[in-house]
Order: sequence, then structure tokens, then C-alpha cells
Amino acid sequence: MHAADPVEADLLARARGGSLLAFEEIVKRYERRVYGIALRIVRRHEVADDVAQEAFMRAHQALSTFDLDRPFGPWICRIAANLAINHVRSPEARETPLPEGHAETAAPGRGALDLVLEREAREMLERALGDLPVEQRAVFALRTFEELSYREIADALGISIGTVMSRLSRARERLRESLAPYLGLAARRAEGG
Amino acid sequence: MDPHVTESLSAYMDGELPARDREAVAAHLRGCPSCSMHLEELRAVDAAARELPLSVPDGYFEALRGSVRRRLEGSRPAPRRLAPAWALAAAAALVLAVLTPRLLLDRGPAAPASRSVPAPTLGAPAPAPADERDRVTEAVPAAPRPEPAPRQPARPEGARLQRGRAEEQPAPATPPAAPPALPAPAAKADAPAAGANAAREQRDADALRALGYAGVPAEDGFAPTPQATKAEAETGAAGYAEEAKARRDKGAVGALQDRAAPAGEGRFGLLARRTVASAAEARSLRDAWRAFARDQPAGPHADEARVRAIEAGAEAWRKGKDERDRAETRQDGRAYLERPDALQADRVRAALRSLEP
Repeated sequence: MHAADPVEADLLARARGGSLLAFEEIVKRYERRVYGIALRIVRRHEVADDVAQEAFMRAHQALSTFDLDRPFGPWICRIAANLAINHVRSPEARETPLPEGHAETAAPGRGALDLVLEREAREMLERALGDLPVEQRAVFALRTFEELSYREIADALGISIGTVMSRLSRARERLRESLAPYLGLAARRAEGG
Repeated sequence: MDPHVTESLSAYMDGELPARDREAVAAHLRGCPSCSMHLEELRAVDAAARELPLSVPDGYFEALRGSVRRRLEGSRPAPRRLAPAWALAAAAALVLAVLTPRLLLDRGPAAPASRSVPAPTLGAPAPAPADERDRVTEAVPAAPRPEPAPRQPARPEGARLQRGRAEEQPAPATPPAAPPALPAPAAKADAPAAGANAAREQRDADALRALGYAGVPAEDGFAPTPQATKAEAETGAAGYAEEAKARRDKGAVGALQDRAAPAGEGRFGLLARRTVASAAEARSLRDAWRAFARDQPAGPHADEARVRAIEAGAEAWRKGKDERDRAETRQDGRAYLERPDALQADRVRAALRSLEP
């Protein structure tokens, strides 16, 4: 069992007692993770915002039953991931790519060709991530960005470890195929540190 | 049979293979440049994905905190301040005189909504079957609660859905041998706490009954009055008070909204469940509905979203009496009525009429 951070446990206890300030501190601690999970699954800011808000609201509603000896992070991530997956599966979901150029960050000290290739690769990767089935995308996001173990992912999504393993493997294979033209660049960068 | 180990590389990379398989894959990799290259490429994919920056609009997290705070403030019990006895008595008398007829109205099976968020009426999506609604609430923290206390009053369906399925279902079964790295969120095995809650709820129920609200079924949009709040404060009944306040905020309109939540839920469902307690929240909801309609102009709920944006705007005006809200709502309403595909013109005209003095 994980022992929760005592400061966090105190915040959660106070939030459970009705302190909105304490809960706001909790929100502050996890907002980036929660929003990040949501965005990486739903792929649109407006929807990720809805999901993030709802995740915190639901966590707050269920605080009275939360065991303060357990870490809050995986729990809230699980809520956000499930809300996001439910959204993407819903008929209302109309996924469109993130706005062009949203991820533009030029790494200093690289040649123009590298920058162009990097930008292309990033766009390709964004597209490929968006094209993954949502189940694979969610598993990939929880593993790659949240670094959850297979057991944690299985628990979070209510699936078996074997399913986690196969979805993750398929997701990576698809991304690898999409990125094939750029993988040499990535390997060079990895070698260059 | 494939002599390579490509299907195992992903789990190998994550250190998630059983020891025997891991050793076998490692042995294969030592003699197979093709699989070694494949593994490097998978690692490169992960590394590239991790390098993707998270795009966050400026000031977004402050706005998120503000939104969560406002939504929570809209559903929290009244602050427990000590007030002079005469003030409490006067408030109780006033509330009885003013709210009792309203309470009786709300108890009707289809009390028309004239407060809080406008109720879906014409053209509102058909009520979703329970299993559809549950699909989204599955996302609720699966926080198992202790066995229900014996005196715990039965909750209405709407309230149960709001609180989420997590409280109705046991946590997903986790093999006991597995390390509970993920909190099977909060298996709090505190039967004494459950007993205390039951006692607390019983005290509150008694207090409410003493104030004349015995037998008022919560599922009818029970709107406790400040007397109830007073009783809650006096009995220190925080848990019950929160639920009562949530029901009060939600009211009959919120219950109708729950029932009218469309199949599939998704973003529409998330917005439809929002309640508003202030002009700022109504504005936020209006903007969210506008964004929804903008994002999905030809979607199945676009018309409903446009209408709800107008109704939320009208609600913002009613709550804040800010002329800008009224002007914007009139403008939105006129634009809607000019649309050739407007399906709910009567409903929008009614919303516009509500803006008149």
C-alpha cells in the first residue's frame, strides 16, 4: 500500500471537512496531470476542460469515501481517463485535430532541416496519436505520459493486464509505422543526447 | 511460427514481462539485430511522444481552479455562522411564508422550471435509458462506500446518478495478491463511520421533520429552506447538509435535466449536468454551450446547445441583473430565430420574454 504524502493527506482531510481552499490546493497539485490525460485522450481543449472540471467535481463528491492512506494521484487520473474515454466513445464526440502549430517549440541550436523534420515528425505523431482507437490511445497515454504500471492501468480502466499489454503493443506498433520515415532522426537525437 | 519476439518488445521495454519471458527475449535480442532495431524504434516512439509539449492556453489553470471553486461553492452548505435568535426566528417565519407555496409547486411531478438552469422542454433529447446514463457515471471514482446504514433514507434515482455509480457498486475486483498500487479508490472500511453517518443523518431527518418537512420526498425536487439549514447547523450535520444543499441547488430542474440527459452523454452530458448558483456560473455555462454549438454546428445536439446557451444567458441576467447579459441573450435569441434550421423557436421566444421587466 502506498502511504499518501502527509501534506496531501491533510489537505484531503480538510477538503473532506468542507474546506474549499484545501481542495483548491489539491486541484492545483493535479490540474496539469488531469488536464494532460484528458487532452491526450479527447484531443480538444474545450472538451479536456470539461473533463478536467468534471473529474475534480466527482472526486470532491466522493471524498467522503476516499481512503486517506492511499495516494490521490492515480485515483483522480483514473477518473479523468474514464471520463475522457466515455466522451470519445459517445456519439457526440466529433474529434478534430488540435489547432495547427499548437505544439511549436523550436529546440535551440539545431539546423533548419532538423527543425523542419522535427516539426513534421511531431505533426505526424500528433496525427497518428489522434488516429489510434481511443482504447489504445488511453493505455498509451497512461503508460507513456503518466508512467503507470500495467496493473495500475488495468485497474484504472477495468481491463485485464493482458489487454493492457496487447493494446499498448498495438498502439506502439501503429505509431512506429506512422513515424517510420522519421525514426532515423529520432535515433540520431537519442544518440546525441 | 515467427522466430522473432516483436510482439513481446513493448512489454519487455516496460519491464512488465515475467522473468522467464524477459530472459528469453533478452537472449533473442543478443543475436537478432532486426529485433534490436525494432526495440530501439519503439523506444524512440515513446521518447518522441514524451517530447510533445502539452498545449495549455495562457491562464487556463487559474480558470480551471476558478470554475471548480464556483461549482463547489454552488453546492456547499451555507456557512455556519451564529446568528441572534431573533434573526433566525424572523428568517424562519419569512421563509415559511414565502417558500412553502413554492415547495408545494416543486413537489408536482413536472414542476415547470423557472429558476436555476432552464429545464429542457421542447425538443429536449429523450430520456436516456438507465444503462446509458450509467455508462458515463462509470467514470465516477469507484470509491466503494461502507454498507448502507439501516436508517439511511432511500435516495432518488437522480441523486444516485449524481453521486455516481461508484457508491453503488463495489470496487472492481482486484486480485488480493496484486500490490494495490492504484487505490481501489478508497476502500474505507470504517463501519463505525457508517454508523456515525447514519446517526447524523437520523438527527437531521428528525430536525427536518420537526420543522414540518417530514415525508417530503426528495425525488420531487425537495427544496429545504433556511430552516433546514439552521437545523443542519445546529445538529452539525455536514454530510446530510451537503446532500440536502445539493438537492436544493439542483431542485426540480436539475432532476429533469438528469432525466433528459441524452443517450451517449459525452460532452453534452457533462454540460447538461452543470448547475448554476450565480450569474458568473450561468455565464460560464452559456459560453460552454456556445462553444459546444460552435464545435458541432451540424451535430445532433447543436440546436439544443444553442437554445441552452440562450437560456443560460437569460439565467445569468435573472441572477445578476447585468444589462450586458440581457443584451447578449437578446442578440443570441434573435440570431437563433433567424436561423432556417431553428427547431425550438417557441422555447427561445419564452426565454426572451423572461428578459422583459
